[in-house]
Amino acid sequence: MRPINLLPRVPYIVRRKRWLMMAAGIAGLLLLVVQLAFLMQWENDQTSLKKEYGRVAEEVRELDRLTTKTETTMAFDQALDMAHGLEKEQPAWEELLQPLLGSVQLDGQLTTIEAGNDGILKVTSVYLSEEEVTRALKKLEAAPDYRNMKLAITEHVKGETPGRLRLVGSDGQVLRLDNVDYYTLALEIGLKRQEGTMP
Amino acid sequence: MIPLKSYKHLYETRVNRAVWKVGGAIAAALLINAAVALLFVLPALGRHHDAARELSAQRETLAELRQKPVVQQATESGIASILRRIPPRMLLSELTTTIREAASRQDVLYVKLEQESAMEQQTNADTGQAEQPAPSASDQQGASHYRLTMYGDLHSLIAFVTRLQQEEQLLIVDSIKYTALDQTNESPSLQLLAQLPSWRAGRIGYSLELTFRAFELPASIGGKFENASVAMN
Repeated sequence: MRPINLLPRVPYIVRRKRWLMMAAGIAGLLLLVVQLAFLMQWENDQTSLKKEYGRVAEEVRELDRLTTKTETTMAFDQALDMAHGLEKEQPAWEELLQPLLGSVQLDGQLTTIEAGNDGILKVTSVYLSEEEVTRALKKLEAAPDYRNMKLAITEHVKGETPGRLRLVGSDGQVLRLDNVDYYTLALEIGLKRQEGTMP
Repeated sequence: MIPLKSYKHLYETRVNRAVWKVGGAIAAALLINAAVALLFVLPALGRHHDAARELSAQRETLAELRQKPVVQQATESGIASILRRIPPRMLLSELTTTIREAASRQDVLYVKLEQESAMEQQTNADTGQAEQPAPSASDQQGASHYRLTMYGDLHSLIAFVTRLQQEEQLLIVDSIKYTALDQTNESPSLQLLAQLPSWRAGRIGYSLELTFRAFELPASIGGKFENASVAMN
């Protein structure tokens, strides 16, 4: 006779216990594999990102070096600016005095030339005639730098004997102004304040 | 007949055991995964994000730098040149050599050199003496003031001033005063004048009094060149 099981059906969890455990294990394992796959992917990516970062960082360093002034260069620029600033204060003395030198014919005619920070060129000179004084003034008036010229004094003088004044011609001939009439001329020339031409 | 209670609890033990085992397996799987995620995966993800962010920031920096113009760095010869123009330390030996050489090239006589003290400069500025330079920004830049007296013929003395201005070391001539020696009340030494070829040739002798400034680099600038100077030396 065929046996009949009258007991209630064994619950699913009991019947499929092994299967469920295995399923949990396999699912856990699969999840682990997925995680490891991601992990490896990210590690690989990170390696290539680091390499790329290194390359870009190198380029940044190089460009930074090329586009940023070093401390020495900044100091050099400051020193250069300082030099250029000071050079602008440098008057071109020779250029300023050239018209004076061109206004006389004999050595010794210009007795004093003085210029300083006040921007005034003071000149005293001697001439042998009034005509010479006028000629010299004309020459000086023609000089662009001497537009602001004032006469301090011009005087007719009788040379003393023995006098101290002497003039020398271009041929070396000495002319003593002992007991000779001569004319003094004192001028004050306001010089234009220009960069590199005036103190 | 089987009692209801016995029937109901027939599988209870086996069910409980199965629940524990299946639950344990699931919990173990989850725990292992959670542990792996916490210990390895999430930190790796964080590192990955950080690396990507850093790379992105670096690329932005690179893009910004590409917009900037390339600058010219100071060369050793340039530094050497500016150090000769404005030395970090003003050496009197070099200054006197410069003047002496300029004088010999122009055939003028180097008679007197005086350094003006700060007090004298202040006094002169206060009294408004014309030949004194007014205190300027350059005075704050390590300027020393000097008064120089030279003898020679007028043209040579004028050329001497130009030569002094063109010297490698920066010297600013602030005032000039030429006086024909015949006109001065001082009696210049004839023995000194006899050394001048132009005087011996009979030309009129002049004295030149000039004031000039010599400079040294401020320590804040000069200090930056110390390494460069050592390298150049």
